[in-house]
Amino acid sequence: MLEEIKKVLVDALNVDAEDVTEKANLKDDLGIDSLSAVELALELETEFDVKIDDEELAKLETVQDIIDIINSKK
Amino acid sequence: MLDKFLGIKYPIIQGAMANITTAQFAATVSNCGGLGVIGTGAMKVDEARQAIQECKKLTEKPFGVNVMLMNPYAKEIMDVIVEEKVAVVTTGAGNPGPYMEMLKASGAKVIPVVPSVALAIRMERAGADALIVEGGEAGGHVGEQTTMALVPQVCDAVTIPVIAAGGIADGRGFNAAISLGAIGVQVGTCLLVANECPIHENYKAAVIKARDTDSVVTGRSMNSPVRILKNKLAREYIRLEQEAKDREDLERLTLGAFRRAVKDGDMQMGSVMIGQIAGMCKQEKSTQEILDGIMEDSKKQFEILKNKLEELS
Repeated sequence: MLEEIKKVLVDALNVDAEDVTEKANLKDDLGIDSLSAVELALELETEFDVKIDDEELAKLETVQDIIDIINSKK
Repeated sequence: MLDKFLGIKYPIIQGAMANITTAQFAATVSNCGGLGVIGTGAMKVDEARQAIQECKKLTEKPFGVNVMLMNPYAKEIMDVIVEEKVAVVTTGAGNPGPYMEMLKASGAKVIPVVPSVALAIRMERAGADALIVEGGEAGGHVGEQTTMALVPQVCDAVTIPVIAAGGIADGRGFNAAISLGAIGVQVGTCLLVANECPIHENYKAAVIKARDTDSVVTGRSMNSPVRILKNKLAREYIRLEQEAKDREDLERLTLGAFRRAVKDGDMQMGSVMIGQIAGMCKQEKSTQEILDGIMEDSKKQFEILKNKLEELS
């Protein structure tokens, strides 16, 4: 799953693949601001065919959080 | 077009500016044919209710209320908007998703301000009636994208109506916005020089004096970019940002700074919010003259545009 998420992050937000670990903090380590997070949500929704609502989006802090939320919805 | 969409005379929304677009000024704009919008900014609930009731007394025409979603009283203000049956709600600084259902049930049209395509798509999905797409040319709190680049991209991405904002103050800007796919515009800076606009006379004079390059965006490092007049405060702020000073140092500098500009007329240490188009606003006029002027100019400029484009074919 990490690899799939990494692919989305790299493709959609031009994040350096090397920086994407489970523990990486979206804001502090990957530099994803609130606008980019909305971008990311759209990409994840398309890629994994899930819906991420606003409250869930606001709670995402690390790459692991993304993995967890996608897993919980699949 | 926006005039039909909102049931008003001109397809022009007055951008909400906290502490500036009071009930009285919003009513003036609505009476002049645009959509006046009360900027509730950091208002408490009772202040917001009072403003809405006052505006109702001053105009029979539709008007809007802007809610800054970071306001701790945003939820309560939304309740008041529903109770008072306000016609239009615009929102900034956040996501109005949680309030969409109750607002729409009350008959209000919900028009969020968005700075990106992704947010536009999410807002459409959440049920927004239209979108105000604002480029970074605007004054005050801004996004990074320009009106020119952002508006057509959002128009391509959503099916709900788009209202363009940022850098518009005359018929050329209005026509350009329509040409990019918008059904109307939101203007702010050009209304700062309205006779009825309740800002300090020094503020008005600063807008009239401003040239194209006299505004600057501060606060990017704080993730809260704000376009203001390039004065002592702005220069000092940018210096501190470049030195990567603590949040606290920056916050201390801007504490009460907007009030200093609007109420006290401090043009050096006040936060004087203006858009890039201030360079075009050269004269104090009545609100009616400003709105009439944009629409008359639009017609005139359309003829000029038509002739130019026909030369091509």
